Amino acid sequence: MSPLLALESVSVRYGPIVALQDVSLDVGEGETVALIGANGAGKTTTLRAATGLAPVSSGRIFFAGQEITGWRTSQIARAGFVHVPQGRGIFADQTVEENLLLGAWSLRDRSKLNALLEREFRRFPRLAERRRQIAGTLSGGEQQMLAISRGLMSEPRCIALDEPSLGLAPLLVREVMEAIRGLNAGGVTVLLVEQLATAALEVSHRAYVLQRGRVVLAGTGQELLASPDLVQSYLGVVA
Amino acid sequence: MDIVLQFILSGLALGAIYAVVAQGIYVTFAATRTFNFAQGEVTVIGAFLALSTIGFLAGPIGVTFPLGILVGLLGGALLAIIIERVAVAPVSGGPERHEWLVSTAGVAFILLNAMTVIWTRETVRFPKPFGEQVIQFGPAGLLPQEVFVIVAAVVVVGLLLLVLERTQLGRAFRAVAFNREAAELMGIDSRWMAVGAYALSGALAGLAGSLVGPITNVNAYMGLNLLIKAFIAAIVGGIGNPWGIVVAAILLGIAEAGLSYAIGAWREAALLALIIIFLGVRPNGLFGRAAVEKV
Amino acid sequence: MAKPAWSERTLPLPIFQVDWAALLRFVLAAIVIVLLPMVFDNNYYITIFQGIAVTYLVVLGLNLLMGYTGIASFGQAGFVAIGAYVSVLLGKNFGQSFWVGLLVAPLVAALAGALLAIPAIRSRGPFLVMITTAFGLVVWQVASTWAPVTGGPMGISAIPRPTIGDFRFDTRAFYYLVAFTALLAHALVSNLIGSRWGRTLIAVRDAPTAAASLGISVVRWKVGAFVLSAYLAGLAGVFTGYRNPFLNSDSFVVGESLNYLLAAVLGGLGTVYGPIVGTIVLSALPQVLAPIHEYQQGIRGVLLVLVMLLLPRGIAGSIGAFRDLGSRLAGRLHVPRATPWSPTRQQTDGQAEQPILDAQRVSRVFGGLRAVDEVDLRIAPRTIHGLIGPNGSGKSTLVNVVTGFYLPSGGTVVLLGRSIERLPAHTIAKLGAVRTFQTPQLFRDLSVIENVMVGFHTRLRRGFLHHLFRTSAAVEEERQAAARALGLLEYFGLADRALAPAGSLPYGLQKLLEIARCLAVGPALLILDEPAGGMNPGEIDRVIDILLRLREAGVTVLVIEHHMDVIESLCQRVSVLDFGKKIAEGTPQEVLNDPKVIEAYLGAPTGGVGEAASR
Repeated sequence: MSPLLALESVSVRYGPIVALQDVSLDVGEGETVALIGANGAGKTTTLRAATGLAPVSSGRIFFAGQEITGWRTSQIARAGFVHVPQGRGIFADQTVEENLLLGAWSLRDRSKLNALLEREFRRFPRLAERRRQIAGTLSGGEQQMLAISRGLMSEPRCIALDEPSLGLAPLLVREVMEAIRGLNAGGVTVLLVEQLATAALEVSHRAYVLQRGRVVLAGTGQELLASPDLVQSYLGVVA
Repeated sequence: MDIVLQFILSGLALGAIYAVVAQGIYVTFAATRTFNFAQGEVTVIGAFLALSTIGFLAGPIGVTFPLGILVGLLGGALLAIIIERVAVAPVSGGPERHEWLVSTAGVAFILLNAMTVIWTRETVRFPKPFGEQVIQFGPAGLLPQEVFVIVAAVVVVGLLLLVLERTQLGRAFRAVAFNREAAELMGIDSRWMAVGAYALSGALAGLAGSLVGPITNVNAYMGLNLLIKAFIAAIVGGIGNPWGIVVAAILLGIAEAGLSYAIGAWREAALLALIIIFLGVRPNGLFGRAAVEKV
Repeated sequence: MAKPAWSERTLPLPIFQVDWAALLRFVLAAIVIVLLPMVFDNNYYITIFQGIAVTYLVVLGLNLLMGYTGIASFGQAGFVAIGAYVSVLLGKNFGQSFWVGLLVAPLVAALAGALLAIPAIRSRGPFLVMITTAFGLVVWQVASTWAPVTGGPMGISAIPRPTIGDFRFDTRAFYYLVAFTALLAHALVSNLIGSRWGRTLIAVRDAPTAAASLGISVVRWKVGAFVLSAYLAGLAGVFTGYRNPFLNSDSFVVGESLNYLLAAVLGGLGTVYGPIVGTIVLSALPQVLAPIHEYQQGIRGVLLVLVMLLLPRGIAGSIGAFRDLGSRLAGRLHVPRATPWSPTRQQTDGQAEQPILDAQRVSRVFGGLRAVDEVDLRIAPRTIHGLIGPNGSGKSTLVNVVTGFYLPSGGTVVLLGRSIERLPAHTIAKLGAVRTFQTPQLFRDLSVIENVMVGFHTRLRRGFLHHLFRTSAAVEEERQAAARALGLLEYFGLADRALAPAGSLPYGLQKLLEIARCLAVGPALLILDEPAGGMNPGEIDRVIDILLRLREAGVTVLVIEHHMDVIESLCQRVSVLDFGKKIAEGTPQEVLNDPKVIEAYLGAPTGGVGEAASR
């Protein structure tokens, strides 16, 4: 069976800067796959290229059996591949509920809207409490929850999460990671970009390690957790 | 005291027109970070279209005037869509640069020329659908058309703000305005939002033209003044804030009416000088907030 | 280190000696100006030539403002009006001659420019459009309304021709006067653009933040450009006022401002010959279109749209020959031998152990989020101090506070014994704290060597008049600056790229160049924001090598970095931030083995991270 999402030798260049070079990876239906690596390794660029936010200079991208290279971002989102960007991209001037409704923009079956809202409020009860609050006034952790929930409102087949732990206290990181495990258990395929490698590997089936725009290591979460190369790749020292 | 009430009433009528045109500037700026420098000319074309429709139909004014407004509104929308497709979307450089300003200024020249060729350079009398019997509000009075303008503006701007605040489409529009990339990630196509915003701004302009026609009559060259006033309202209101724009438009109308009484012909110069000084003190307008520049 | 051979070579640079090619062009232009009325011996044509010369003065100034400084003005006709009315009224009401008006009126316009600049340079985009449009309208309104003085729409009549003694300037003589004024203005403005002045304006346009970080007061330079463009428009105004015996406010409607803008854009913004090309094309248009006069305005509009669609960089900007001819780097001249550069040892005024930087309890809050939370940071002289932490931990924010780009929400910052927490960025740079940026902010349209020369900005002494007239003192100072810049580039191994546009360098070299540019300032504290970010291993080694040499020479450095090998091999001390707080400080070894630090980097949702990291 072909994977749900596949990148084939994707490169991204910004003028003279090579941000991504020949990155190939695939994500099977129902998997959680992590992309880890140091700052500037190209994790975010990989996601942005996959969802049409970064210009792909060579290589091809496939989603659900269709080639999506060069598609508009909104078109990719409507095809069922949603990207929760770094920094969350919350519509800070609208309420929590309005943000969630916008997440459902491409939802075809409008009768499901209320059920989906309820589902997300069950996933993150804190959002239910803050339903009518302006999203810009939420704490960082709540904004992250909102961003994830908003991404799920269109019932995507695959969701890409870019550094959901960014700026979160350890306790909240745990909560968000548990939620990722939960939504994967519910059948959503997850592509997770994380700086907190250990945390990411614990919730992922497989992972790719990026370094300077290339994939340098790939394997299952357990393999990589046991690998001394991982710490090396992160801290640049053999601890 | 009486004269103050008169300023306020006359100012409301003026401000109502500015508010309608200024909302057009707001919607395009919000969706695309550009606006149409030919917005004033689109407004005047709306008035000419309404006038021609009324003349062509030659029926009772009670029937032809609404139809005229409709034609002005639709014509404005169509024109603005063409402008967006031809002179805004394809120009390079992006919103931070000057290219779109220059190209839409070029459109303003084209439309102005077209009006003088198709219609006339002279001022044309616009029929008065509601007569010219002044309606008294205590010691002050307004022309019936002025009252109609205020009512129509309240309805239209109110409807617009309601749509923006309460409907899924309005929310999507505000999402694009707030963060275009994040909106695209929701599946919202920002290109269509841009076209829609221009269509809406053209419709508002065309409507404003057909509303103002019976008060001022129509002259091909009156677009610049309308654009400047609407632009002032949009800027002083803090361009990203539709409510602020309404407030600024009304204040501007009242200030104009008051200054007109106090200093007559010096009104325009004084008003504009005040605006420059105001923007020197509050560079982001009445209600705009300064963004922390990211380094 | 062996002297590289290229410093002996002759390189093209714009600034150092008489530019014979430019002089030749100047003489040719003068001959054309003299011959034109002889060839077209007809007052109708001569009047058109007058108009071209007058318009050119305005467009020249607008190009300086818009093309080189990046500020669009929709109100230049206002300055022209001021020049016209002030000079004519000086004559009519105060009995002064044309020549007094010529002296005084442009200065009045320049003053108006300075006043308008105050609101204008604080604004951007639509706000700037609004302010400049409103200014043009105000002046026009005053001219039409103030009938007792300006005659309003009826105008002022019987304006006499200028005279010198018994000589009266007829149409042809007046043409010569205007045309040679325009030629002189062109030459002087070209001098400026080729000098430190033009370099600084382009720097302010390309990367205002970086310009401020090198000690340039962005506000002052933008105001300067505004004043100069207003002066030139005012000068054009004087000629406008005395061209015809009759002057009324119709000459200064908003459409005129748009015409100037159109000429500048059509010709090509930021090019030397764009303004003249644009002015001539636009002035010729009404003549060409005379038979279809009623469509003239529309055709002008079509032209505007088409130029923006097809030639957004204008005629001169799109045609290679024009671009190269007018380029700031034209003219083949001798570059001096490089003056070898080496880092200067830190001056510490005898108190060797006083910290260079002492920040105490510094905080910065963004809408409730404490991005930096009561952080202490002391940097000892002649050390390299590392600053690490996960994404979003507040490192860059801290640097932005220290260098004056953000105001602190609390705390004190002392640089070399001086409190700096309330000072603007360019002042802090002058005091000695100079920084690089996470993504290099080069002046893309300047050459590599000029980028470094911008770094010398605070040390160059020759002012406006020197550069305007290209005095030998100014030329010599520029020569020395170039020689030192070349020396600095040698030190960084970038000298063979000295004349390439900075924007064309590979990413790694851009980052190196940014460091070189900072060193040109002669900083007491060099702050590097991820110098190795985005670099390949070879480039990282090069950065480490250069920083080691700087350390040996006693330069004090604060470095934010994610590559721990860089931190380990360079830093004597390292501070670690997490959630805006300092969670550790010590030697690299101490810090990198600190469990708190490892946890912050790898994350420990189930507490098992210590094992993973200690393997």
